[in-house]
Amino acid sequence: MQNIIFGLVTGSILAIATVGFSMIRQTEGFINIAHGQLLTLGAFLGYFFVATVEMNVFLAGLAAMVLVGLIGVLLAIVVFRPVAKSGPLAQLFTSIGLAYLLFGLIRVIFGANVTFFPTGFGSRLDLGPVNVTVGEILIVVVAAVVVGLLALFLTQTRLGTWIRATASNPELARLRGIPVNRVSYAVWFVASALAGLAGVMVGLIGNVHSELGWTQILIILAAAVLGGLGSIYGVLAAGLLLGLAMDLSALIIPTSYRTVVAFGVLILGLLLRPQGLFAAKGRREA
Amino acid sequence: MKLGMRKLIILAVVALVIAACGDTGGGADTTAAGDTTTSAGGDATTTAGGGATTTAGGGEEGPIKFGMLIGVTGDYAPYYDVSKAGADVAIAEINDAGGVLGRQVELVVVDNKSTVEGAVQGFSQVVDVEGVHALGGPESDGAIANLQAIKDLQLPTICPACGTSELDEAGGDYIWRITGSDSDGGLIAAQFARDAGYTQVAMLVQNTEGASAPADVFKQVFTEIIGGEVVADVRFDPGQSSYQAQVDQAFADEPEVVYVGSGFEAGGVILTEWQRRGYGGGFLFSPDMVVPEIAALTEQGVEIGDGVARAAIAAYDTESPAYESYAPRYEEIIGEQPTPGLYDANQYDQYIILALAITAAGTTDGPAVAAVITELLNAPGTAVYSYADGVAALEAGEDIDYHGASSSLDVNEFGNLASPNFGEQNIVDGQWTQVATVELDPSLRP
Amino acid sequence: MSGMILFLVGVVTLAGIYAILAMILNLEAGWAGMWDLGLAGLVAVGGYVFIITTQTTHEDVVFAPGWPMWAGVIAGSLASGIAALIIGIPSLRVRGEYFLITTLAFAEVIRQLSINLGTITRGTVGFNQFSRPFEGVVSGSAYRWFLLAMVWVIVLLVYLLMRRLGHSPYGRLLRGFRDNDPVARSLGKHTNRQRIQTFVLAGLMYGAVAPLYVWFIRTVTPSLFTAEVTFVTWTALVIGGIASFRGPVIGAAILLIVTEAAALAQGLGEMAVVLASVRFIVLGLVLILVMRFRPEGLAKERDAFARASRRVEA
Repeated sequence: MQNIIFGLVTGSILAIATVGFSMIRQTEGFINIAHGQLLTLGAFLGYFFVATVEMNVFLAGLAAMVLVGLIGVLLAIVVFRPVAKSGPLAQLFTSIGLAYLLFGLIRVIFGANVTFFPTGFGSRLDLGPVNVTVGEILIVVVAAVVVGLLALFLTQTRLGTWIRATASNPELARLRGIPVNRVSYAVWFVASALAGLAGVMVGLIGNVHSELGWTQILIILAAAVLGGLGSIYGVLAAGLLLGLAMDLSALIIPTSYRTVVAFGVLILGLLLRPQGLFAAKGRREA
Repeated sequence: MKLGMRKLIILAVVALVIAACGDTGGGADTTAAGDTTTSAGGDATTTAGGGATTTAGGGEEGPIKFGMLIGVTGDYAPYYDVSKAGADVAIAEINDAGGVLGRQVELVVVDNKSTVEGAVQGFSQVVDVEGVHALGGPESDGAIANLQAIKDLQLPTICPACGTSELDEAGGDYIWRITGSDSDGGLIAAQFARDAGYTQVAMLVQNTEGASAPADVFKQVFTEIIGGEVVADVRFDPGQSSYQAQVDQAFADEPEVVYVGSGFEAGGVILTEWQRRGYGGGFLFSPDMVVPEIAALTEQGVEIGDGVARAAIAAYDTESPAYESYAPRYEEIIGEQPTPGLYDANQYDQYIILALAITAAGTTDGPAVAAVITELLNAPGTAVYSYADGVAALEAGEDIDYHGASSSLDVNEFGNLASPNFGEQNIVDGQWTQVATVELDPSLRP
Repeated sequence: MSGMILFLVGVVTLAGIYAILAMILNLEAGWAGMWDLGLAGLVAVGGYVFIITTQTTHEDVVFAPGWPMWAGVIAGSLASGIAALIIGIPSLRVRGEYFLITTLAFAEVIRQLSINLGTITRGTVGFNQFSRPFEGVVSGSAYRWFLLAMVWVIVLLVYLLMRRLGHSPYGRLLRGFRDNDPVARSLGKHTNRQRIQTFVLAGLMYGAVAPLYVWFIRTVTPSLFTAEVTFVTWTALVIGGIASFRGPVIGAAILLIVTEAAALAQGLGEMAVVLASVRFIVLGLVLILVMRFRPEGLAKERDAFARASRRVEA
């Protein structure tokens, strides 16, 4: 039972990270491996704001989010825009190159050491057979709130509607006069900000070090594919599902197989539904 | 494809130019006073004439080069500064005493990137390009990967911190390791458990060689020889952001103590999660956890101080004159006292040993140097505690027995410490501190 | 200077090994359009089966028959081929990015198994101190030249094989499927069989050349077969030019020489960590720039095959 709590926390964080990733895939059309490095950047910035600037952890998280969001837009303009016409494979490898580049820069700026957030998790609450700390509840709540806000944004605002239109059919969107550039910037900002937030959460739960990006991107990729690359809600579900699977599996099989379980679920999922669990009718070809 | 070929050639030329610049001084870290001309050492990786083997070691002019093949970057990077400091203290001591055979000593540091592939390439760099006369500094996996090459090239090599059980019987001719074997580390942890009266332990072990090898010895000794029970054996991969499920599993049956065999990155995460959940109980740590980052966790509210967490690690002999002379010099560079968990005194000792060996052999020739190392570390002989003392005794025609800053350095026929000192360490006031010495109980050896 | 040359021998040998891996990857990714992110796993299977069947140093494993090397090479190759078959059948039902992640998943599973099946693989410790071919005959540092020669002879053989395959009807068919060519498509249900055949062929080849890597590194541990091997191979292929013939070789040579040269120029001291990180920055920049200005890579597929078709028409 306790493991369900663990799975929820892991899954919530994974969901946040993957939603942003999936948005890029949907609207920009390629897999962005550098997403993992934006997550790492978020973790380091969050740590910096808390430990050095001594901000309150919530403000630090917000600040990290906004900063990473802006950096994401900048990278989109400078690095990705010029390669957009060369096709998804070129963009994929550009993103890999950018991932290496960011990884190197992060190490230069922040160092190669491992640090821990000096933030307590609050008191422990015993709820029947499980226990959970206040901090963990907050993480899940924040994740839920953010997702809720995102849903509202996408459905209730004009910009959000434009984003959804562009995601399902970019050519038609452009023809209908939707300012695709502005949409693109918005998507990059939101996606990168989400990555930054996920990074702060990962750092809080575990630790902060420069290799975070590489380990996280693999699971993010798994969650994104499992969820169906075209659907945001599918991705959320997939993220939660993988998080739960990884932590619940510890009850049955040796825990050194944790990431293997994640991949096993992915393979099984794809065997049953090759287009992903919740595939949307998006026109993007794999 | 002319365009492709041209680019290839240009790039290759650029690479060679960069590499050549790296060769003549840019790449080597020097602590010697003199200039850094690469001597005939560069050519002498093959002996003239038809020997079946080629020997390492340079010519007879210019500085004597000691190699340091170590993780400057990568997973072992956190250990680099302290290791280098220990080595620097040794090199300075040697050169201040007049060098070796009248020649200054130069320390050549090469990064193995903390990977096996990096260790193989780095070994080639330090031997082929730099032409070192002897080697120090490697970690376990790099030492094993290069083991055969070390023997082939007859390069005297000292491993300051290799715990791997693979070296239990593989050394003694060209490679020595001056720290306890992981097998002993695991054994001592079992001894602690026995002496404290524990009958039920759980284990949390990282799936890497350095962590799992001593853990397996612990398990074997604890269950088969002591007769205790391992209620949970939880293995995990390093590099994850959360270990809650693993920690929960380990503490599920409320064991009396949990053995944690892990690197400190994962270990730190595990401990913060343990604190968060409030499991209570005690810990037995593997040596990799005896580092400042773990001790610092007590200041973040993780209550593992004052005996809650106990570790056994090869202890420095703090009474030894060698240690007392070394410690202040090290502290001057790093600003902290020497730490067994960081193996800095071992890094110091390895180069003193090599310098004394070359002095005793009267030559830098690999086999000759290697032949005297075991002798000068063991009795009989005049006990010496510094390089200068050792040289003086040798010049007086005496046999020496060098006692180092890290331990008395008596070795057996396999190049392992014959009876390593172990000490129990607890975290006191945010620092790892030795609280007792421990004698390994030989009846526990499997 | 001869020391430097000996060092470069190592670099060029490693470049050759990656050139072979990149050429095999080219076959499955460049021509057949299968984005394989799990080649490290197939190499691992070949390498491990080879060393398990041939080594005689370690006694603490359940299976150590001590076969002669050629038998071990064949065993490793077959094992990788079988692994490819097992992986391929479920994976090839999915396309493109999905295939990518599925193969990656399998590679991770293989790596975990190599750690956990300690009684067969010696777990995280792995194998070391084993002999290499012709070590009795060629000695000491001369052996490194021998290994260099052996690797590059195999590079040449693989290159010629790939040329043969590329120009064959089989090769044209593969590229046709990749490009959704209507003629190829009209052959319909054979698509999957061709792809599985190619994948298994790639597996057999990865397994056959894995021993080269083992002889170069001189140790076999799970940590050798991480996703980094896959990424380096991919990067070499992309820089050099996917789907061309010389591309993989050029890409591997450039990539390895540049990164090793950067390592040498690294220098040490306070700047070491900074400069080591520069390696990644350089690698990233190279990838970004190549994709920006020459996305087909340095050697173009169009040119590689254009010359061929001119020859045919002539």
